[in-house]
Amino acid sequence: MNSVSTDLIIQSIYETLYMVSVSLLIGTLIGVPLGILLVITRANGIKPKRIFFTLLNGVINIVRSVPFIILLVAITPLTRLIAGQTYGSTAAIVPLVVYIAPFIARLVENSVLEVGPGIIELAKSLGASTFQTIRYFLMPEALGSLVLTMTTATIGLIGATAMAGTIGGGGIGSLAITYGYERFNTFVIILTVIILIIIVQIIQGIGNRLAKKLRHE
Amino acid sequence: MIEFENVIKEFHHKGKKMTALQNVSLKIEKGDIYGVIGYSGAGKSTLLRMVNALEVPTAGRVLVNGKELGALKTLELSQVKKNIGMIFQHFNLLESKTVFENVALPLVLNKVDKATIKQKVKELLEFVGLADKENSYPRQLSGGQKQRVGIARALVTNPQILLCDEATSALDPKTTVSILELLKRINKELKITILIVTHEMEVIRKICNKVAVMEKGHVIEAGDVIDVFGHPKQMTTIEFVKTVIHDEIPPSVLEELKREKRNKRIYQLKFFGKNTTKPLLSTLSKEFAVDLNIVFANVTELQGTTLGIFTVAFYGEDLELERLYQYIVENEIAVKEVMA
Repeated sequence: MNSVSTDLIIQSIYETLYMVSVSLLIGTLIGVPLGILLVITRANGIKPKRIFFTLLNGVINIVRSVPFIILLVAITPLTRLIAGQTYGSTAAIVPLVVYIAPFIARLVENSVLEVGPGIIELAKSLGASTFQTIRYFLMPEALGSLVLTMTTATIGLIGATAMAGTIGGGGIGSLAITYGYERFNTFVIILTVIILIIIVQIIQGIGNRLAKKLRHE
Repeated sequence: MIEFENVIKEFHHKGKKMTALQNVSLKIEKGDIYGVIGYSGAGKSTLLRMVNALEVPTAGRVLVNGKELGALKTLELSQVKKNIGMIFQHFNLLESKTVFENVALPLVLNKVDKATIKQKVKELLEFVGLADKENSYPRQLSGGQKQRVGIARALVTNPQILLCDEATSALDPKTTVSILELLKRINKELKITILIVTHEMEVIRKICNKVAVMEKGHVIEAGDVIDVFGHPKQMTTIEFVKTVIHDEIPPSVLEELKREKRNKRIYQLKFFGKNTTKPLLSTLSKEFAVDLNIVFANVTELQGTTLGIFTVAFYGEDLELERLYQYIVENEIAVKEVMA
């Protein structure tokens, strides 16, 4: 099949899904709490902590400013420390997490901020603790929007995995670059792009449907 | 039940000092439906929010059941709060939860067991007339139904006090009436003291027994609704009363009166309660050498009693008209001369 085997394509899809799912899982575990902290510690939040907020906000901005391809190379020592290697799909997960966690934090922050001041007022009037306010008021109300947020993050991750090819992460994106773009093989480029389009469509479709269900529209 | 003693509240916004409440003192007795009315920015919502400590006074004291809120520890304060329910202008329902879950929420926060929650929620939904909606989501409800859910939620912890923050301001007139009737029932049947903040005089007229009128952070007039409605003193109060009780001669009648050349005086008479049924006008026409003509009349029902306003043109000699005026005053009927 024009210089790429079916096995290679399936292998690449597997690598993409592996990198995306693992880094999404870890990124969510880190990003969601950070996003909530951004909401509650801000000046008009329910537990204002000015210095903490300024620091966290600043760090997230700095990490988000670095282009992924630079980040990939810049944090090699950290990658070696955590993954024990600097090459391959598993090694690529470390920079992917560093890239996606602050992005998720920012998206979660936006989603939770959408919950109206009336709901927070209600929580206060019922004497809810900070934890209860997050658990019973903010999170359930933001859930529909959070699902869309996670969909956006997932699709962003798929884009980023293409660059993980530079450290041997593999995946569909790197297949497109090495076998298609660098060998002037238009067929492979088109094929891989179609595969990516299908994956993105499926993820966005699931996200939209789930969000709609959660919002009870 | 609720007492405000010389309460002052200042806000600081971008370095500017703003005084929301200036030395407010009010006393709400057990069993009252106490209405606080004022234009937006008068400070009435700030006042309401002090009762459940959503706002803390800059100076002065707020007492609930004899306990000063400012002196309570966190735990005691949360106990007092659980004794106070609150409903809101925009209902503040969780869109992601069913009606049942919304009403159950205060009990879930208090870690009440599931069986009790189920029983209590069903009981309250029955009470507010939404027993068939427990599995609906707020988006599927009308404004009035949403407020009923809000009310059920506020009552599920068996509070002694219900705070209403512009609870009918987002509703149409017909729905407003049904919600007000529900509030009245809550007051009567469940013996709950209600403090209600509004800018609609209709709310005060329909259900309140006491009223305080607020302007620029001050309480400018307060007392029994019938007194404040009958004898409004401050300009703002007069404006509010006018929105529900009309006492002005219609312009066309006024024109007619002006054109008439006969010697006359026009008196506005106010009757309260028992006075309303006395045959004053027929007595006047028999006892005095005058002709009379009613140019305006209005009877309003307030708290089970009536307030009647009659504007009457009397024709006759000056001396006789003066004697008639004295007679009305002696009969303890509020009277004032109106210019034509």
